[in-house]
Amino acid sequence: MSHSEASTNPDLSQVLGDVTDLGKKLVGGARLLGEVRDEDVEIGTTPKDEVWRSDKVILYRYRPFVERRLKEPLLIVFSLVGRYTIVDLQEDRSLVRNLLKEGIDVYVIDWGSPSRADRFLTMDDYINDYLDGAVEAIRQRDGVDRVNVLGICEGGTFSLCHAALHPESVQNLILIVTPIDFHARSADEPLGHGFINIWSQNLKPEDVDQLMAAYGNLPGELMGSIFASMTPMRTMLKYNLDLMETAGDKQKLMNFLRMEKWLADRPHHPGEVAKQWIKDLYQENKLIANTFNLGERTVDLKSVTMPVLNVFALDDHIVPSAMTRNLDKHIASREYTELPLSAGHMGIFVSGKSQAILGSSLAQWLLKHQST
Amino acid sequence: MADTDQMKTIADFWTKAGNDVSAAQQKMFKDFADGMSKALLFPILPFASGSSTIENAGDSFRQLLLSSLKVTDAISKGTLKSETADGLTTELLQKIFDPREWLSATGYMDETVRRITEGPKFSDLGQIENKALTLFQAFSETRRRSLEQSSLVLAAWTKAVSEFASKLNEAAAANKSFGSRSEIVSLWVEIGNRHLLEVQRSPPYLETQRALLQSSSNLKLAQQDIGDFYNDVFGLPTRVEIDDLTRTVAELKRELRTEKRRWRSANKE
Repeated sequence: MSHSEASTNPDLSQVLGDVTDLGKKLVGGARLLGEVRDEDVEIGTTPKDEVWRSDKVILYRYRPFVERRLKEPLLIVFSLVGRYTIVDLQEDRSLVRNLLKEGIDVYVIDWGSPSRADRFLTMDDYINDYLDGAVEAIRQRDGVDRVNVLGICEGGTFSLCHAALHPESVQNLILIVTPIDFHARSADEPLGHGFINIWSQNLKPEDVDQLMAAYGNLPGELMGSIFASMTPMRTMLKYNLDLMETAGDKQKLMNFLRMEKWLADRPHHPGEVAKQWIKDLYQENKLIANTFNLGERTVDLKSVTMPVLNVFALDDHIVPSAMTRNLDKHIASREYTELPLSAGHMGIFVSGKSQAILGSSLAQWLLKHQST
Repeated sequence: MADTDQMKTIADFWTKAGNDVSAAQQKMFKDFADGMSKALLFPILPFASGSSTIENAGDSFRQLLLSSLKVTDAISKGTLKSETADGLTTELLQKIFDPREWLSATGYMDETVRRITEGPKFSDLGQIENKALTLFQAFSETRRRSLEQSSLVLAAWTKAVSEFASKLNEAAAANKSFGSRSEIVSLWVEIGNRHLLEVQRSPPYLETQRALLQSSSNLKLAQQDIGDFYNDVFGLPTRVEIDDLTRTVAELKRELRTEKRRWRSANKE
């Protein structure tokens, strides 16, 4: 084929360009991947110190960046599914850093890595013992009456229950991508959203019991598989086509690897907690009905009286926004604010667009609602 | 390479890959049944088939896989307008069209369940024939359910490829070209994703998922039963005993935390 034929045929030129481009990326990517070691892929690097521990649960305090502006410290409570490090994935994608820069004193709970030895821990243990213990530790350490609590996903559900049972210890409550009404769906929900609801509600209660009897806990690998199945083609292409697109750019490659490191770290979900999560909440929706029991107490959402900021993601395929909205109908707070963001479930913490909004919005709201 | 060669190459690859997957499944069952019949004191084959249910499931899967190859007719009619041998594009498309890629990537649940339930292989079956049979039946059931799920995924994949081929045909008929690799991939991703998400939500798939989870739990419990039997024989703690101890410790810790809280509250007052 002559040069003139190549240059005048748009299809051929484009394909040749594509192939050349891809070839360059492949060569560069292979070299970069060969140079990167596991220790080079660091996540959750913002400096922090352990200040309290109970069994496997550890409370950390992040070292401040600037002078403190907010009177009450903020406790971040993540889910048992996945690790809290998503809120501090890397320097330029860190909700923690953004809050520290705003003069917020930030603590975080690390739930640890549950094993079969933890299979009989219940939600009552996590909420009324560990979470409340952490809140109490912060109150004593900082000499404050109340603490701001920021709950994420299942951690948000825990935080909401805690606020209902211990309203005297919570100054403000922030919820991010938190499932509240587990049966709420919207008619215009995209096809790929809400598969966890469908999957869990399809199981019989005895299936859940048998799964926990067999494995002790809800295996982290199983949860990871369910999440991966919600974006099937993306899962299939992630390690070939997608990786080829990013491999030639070191920054993109490192971003990809950090995210992968976080995704690969899937702790097991303690068996009894998993049973309650699936049966009491996903299947029977007890929280909204005010029939959800933790130990000897029933969670009454009307006991939530402190200011609440409810942040949710409009493109959340894991916890569709219908499950998170309209909490004000169920609580007694007189100050309730919703903040919808155009992002996905975890994208809300790591997307460039969210970075510019989330940290500053939370800080402004907290400063407005601190005690006088 | 001529216009039709690129798609024909893909279709030929698919035919071979489909045959390979199907043959591998059949060989696996035959080998396992042969091995079991030599290991046990009595014929295992009636039990190995699980009353022919596994053979039926495997046969159905094979039939589905082979019948899906009829879609190659539709694919071979489609053409790409590119007039150059873009070998890299062809290889990439072959990889993402390969049914083995689909079944392994989207049969993730199957792979995961299989990986975390695979237990010790049979060694000494002298005294525990019943437990071994229970284990094997649980294994057979898990395989059957896994095959059922794979069949559903493959059916969805067949529909996706059929739609993709139709779109290519339409483009060819309208004299429109898909000149870039990324355009072709984006089209395939959109179509494949939609079909996979639809099948995930279908009642047959959900029922198979539930059954697969059930059977894998039964398999795990059967493995545990055999493990506990040997542990008991050799004076080692069994899983049941350890779980009892774990429950006792959890309850004791709970009481201790409660007492600590009461003590702290009392101290404050």
